[in-house]
Amino acid sequence: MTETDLVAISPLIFVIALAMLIIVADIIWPDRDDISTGLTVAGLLVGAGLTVLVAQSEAREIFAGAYVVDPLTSFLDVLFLAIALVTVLVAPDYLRPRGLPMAEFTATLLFAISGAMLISGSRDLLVLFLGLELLVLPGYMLAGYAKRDGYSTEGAIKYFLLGSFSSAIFLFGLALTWGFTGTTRIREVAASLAQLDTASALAPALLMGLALLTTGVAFKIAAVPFHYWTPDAYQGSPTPVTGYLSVGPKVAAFALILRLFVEALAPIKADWTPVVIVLAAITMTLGNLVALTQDNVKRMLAYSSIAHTGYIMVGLAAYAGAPVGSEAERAGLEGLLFYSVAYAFMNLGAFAIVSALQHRRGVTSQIETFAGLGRRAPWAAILMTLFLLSLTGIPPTAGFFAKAYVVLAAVQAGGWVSVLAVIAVLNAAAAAFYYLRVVVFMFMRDPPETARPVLTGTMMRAGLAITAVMTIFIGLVPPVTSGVIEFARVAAEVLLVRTAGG
Amino acid sequence: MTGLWYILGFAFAGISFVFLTIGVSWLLSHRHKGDRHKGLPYESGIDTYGDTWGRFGLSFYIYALLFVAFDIEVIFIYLWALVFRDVLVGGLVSMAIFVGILLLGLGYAWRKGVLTWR
Repeated sequence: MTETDLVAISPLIFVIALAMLIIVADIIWPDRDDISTGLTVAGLLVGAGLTVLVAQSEAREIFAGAYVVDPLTSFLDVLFLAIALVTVLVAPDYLRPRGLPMAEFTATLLFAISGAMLISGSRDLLVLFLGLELLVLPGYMLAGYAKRDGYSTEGAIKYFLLGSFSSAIFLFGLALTWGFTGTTRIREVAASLAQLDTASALAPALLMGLALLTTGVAFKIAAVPFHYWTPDAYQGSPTPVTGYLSVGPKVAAFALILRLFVEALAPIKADWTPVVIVLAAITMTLGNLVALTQDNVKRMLAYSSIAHTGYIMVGLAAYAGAPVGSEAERAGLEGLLFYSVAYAFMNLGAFAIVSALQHRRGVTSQIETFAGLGRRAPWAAILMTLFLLSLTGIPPTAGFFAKAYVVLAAVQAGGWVSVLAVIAVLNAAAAAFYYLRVVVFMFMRDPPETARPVLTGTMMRAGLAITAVMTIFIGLVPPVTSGVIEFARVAAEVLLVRTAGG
Repeated sequence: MTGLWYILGFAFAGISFVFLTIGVSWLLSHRHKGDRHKGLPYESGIDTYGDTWGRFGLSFYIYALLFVAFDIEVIFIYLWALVFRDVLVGGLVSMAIFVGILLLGLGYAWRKGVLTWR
């Protein structure tokens, strides 16, 4: 360990220190939500600045090659910090009326984010697992944050049981991979696998490791048929937490896929490509079909997030299915990263509106809550329409470009992956039905007699502004669009150079 | 191909271990129908009473968690003490940070009233 090592991971250390500072502040001034919230917002902005600052220097491996700070790490770190920021801005409006403390919420959230940041630059199988656990353990706590609420507890227990079960499966897969290659360093794992004879079948031990890793990761990203925990965990959790859970752990799990499958297991990608293609196809289709029948908006968005997992996996499939060294390989990873950014903002935005409506205690997330919203609170209805259109993939929103990149990459990759492109487009058309159903409720139904005005705080407005601006700008303002793409391209390049060079 | 047999053999051994242990304990256990005391968990102790499915206070759980945190800490401190001559100031600072983080957790739990018995 040297000073440069510490400088390179300073964003990560900063976030952990910030979480502890909030705990100290809560010990000294208990029940002062404004202090912890203010500290978090200011701290996250500083943390993002620090990440960008560290990204200026050259990419380097630190801690004897266990961690790397390269453009991909910086890309993901900035995204994670932005997700945390929006979540913290949206949360008070929902938590305060229910008497839930902010300080513990923000501290727990920051610990989870530090886990995600550990994953994003991890170059070692064990550090990867450590980051994963640091990410999901606070997630279980957040899911059960409304501890007097039976649904919240139910969702948290289901999330915890299946989450720890899948972590065990994943760890077993890591153990077999380690047993086969004899190293936990990702670079050495890749080098060891590259020497295998690709023409003959893989050794059963390695195949089993691959199967266990795939299953474990599929649980974490909630891919069908490993998605059963998702709807209950998402519906039961406090709404701002649901927003975070549907975005943070999902993007982090894709970061894990990039580090593990795209970097370490790239030499044997012919063996896991068919699985990714099949999983992507059924995840998109089943997620969308089940979402069609939901009457609860949170549950509908939960199934829609499963469908979006499928779309992101199309990007992964495009990388995996493309010939080694081809342009489509890069396009696939670029699409995956771009989709993650667009998805993060539009999905957080949609959940932020649901949180805003649930500001008063006792307001449910049933679709009837949205009836006549266009008349009761026009701006909320307009923003919700924007997010839903973006989730559908209608131009000129961020969601459209995200889908376009992923689908184009799949077409470029050719073969079976181009079939995925067709499935993705058909699914996007089917998804329009249930997204627009909410819009119909908002603008074409009369508000219920009992409806009371929608109240929003300043922070909620700021959170909505960030998500809305990003959703529009990524789609509509060329410099922003190309900026995100450029950043994603540089980040994707890192993976390709390394897998090509061994 | 031999690798596959290893896996099958391993799976077979793993599954049969379960039945083996249950079977052996069934064979070895003394089943005296007539003598009630022979069947008790503690044959020569005082008579047991109550239900096995009794409920525990949740407070024990939090104490157990705090205990585990400090129990693990001790493992690190032993190793640190062994090599202290080599690490000196840097080691002292690292350990101070480590213990400080744990103490912060304890202080937080204390402040939140976790240590008050309810």
